Amino acid sequence: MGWVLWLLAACGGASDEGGGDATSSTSPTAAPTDTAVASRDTVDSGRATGTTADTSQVTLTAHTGATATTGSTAATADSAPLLTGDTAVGCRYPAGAVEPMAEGEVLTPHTWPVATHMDGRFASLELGKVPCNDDDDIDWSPFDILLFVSIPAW
Amino acid sequence: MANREAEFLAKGVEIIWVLEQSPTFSGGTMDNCLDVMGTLGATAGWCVGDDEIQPQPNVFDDSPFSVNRGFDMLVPRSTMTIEWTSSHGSPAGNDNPSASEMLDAVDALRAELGLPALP
Repeated sequence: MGWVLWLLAACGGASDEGGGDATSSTSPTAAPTDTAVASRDTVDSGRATGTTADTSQVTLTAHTGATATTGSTAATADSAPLLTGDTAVGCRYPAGAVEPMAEGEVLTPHTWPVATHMDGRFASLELGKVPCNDDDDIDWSPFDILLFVSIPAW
Repeated sequence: MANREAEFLAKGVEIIWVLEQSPTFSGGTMDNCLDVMGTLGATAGWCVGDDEIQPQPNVFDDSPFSVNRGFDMLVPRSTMTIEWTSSHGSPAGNDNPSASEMLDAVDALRAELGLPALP
């Protein structure tokens, strides 16, 4: 339950900082884009069939100093562009992702075959496509920074 | 909650809520994330489940940042490097930053990255 109290406080519901209301309901603050809307059926179909991203071409460096790869392809990020679409020429997911994740290190390009935005959109969320503005499902261009909030059970 | 979310969006920050476990300690799924964050009044950000990550599920729950607690991290899109982290939860020793402190961290990171300051 502690994290819930933190969220309420951090986001204004139990804080004197913003005057926010944790239970209030307002219009979505991030307008959907014309390329980011997917139907639930479409996304669920992707989940059911195990759609995966191009993470097979990312080399992961473990903190032990060993090198591991995800998937069956052992190409490195330096030698094999992650993103090969026309709009992604010259743009690659940064090399050097490590597991487990660590501060100061590149985050592994995880994929969620199904994700939902709080404004009602559904899409696959592929971190491998985040840096290059060529994601057909989600327009990341308005954003410079991602804030991940990892939430344990309450 | 929505007004604080708007402050992050205004600073060019997209939120990704990652549910590690449901309130009943079952799977961390997108559906459960949506339920939890909807209950808390969230109106912005993407909701995903730790159980549904590919190729390896539960990497957030299994990460060193998550030891009987939640955590937050800022990752610039340009580098996808974890540049800032904090922890939250009731056990002693967690950072439990306020929204203002997190927004300050965003400002500092934007400056470090050479990005223009945003109100």
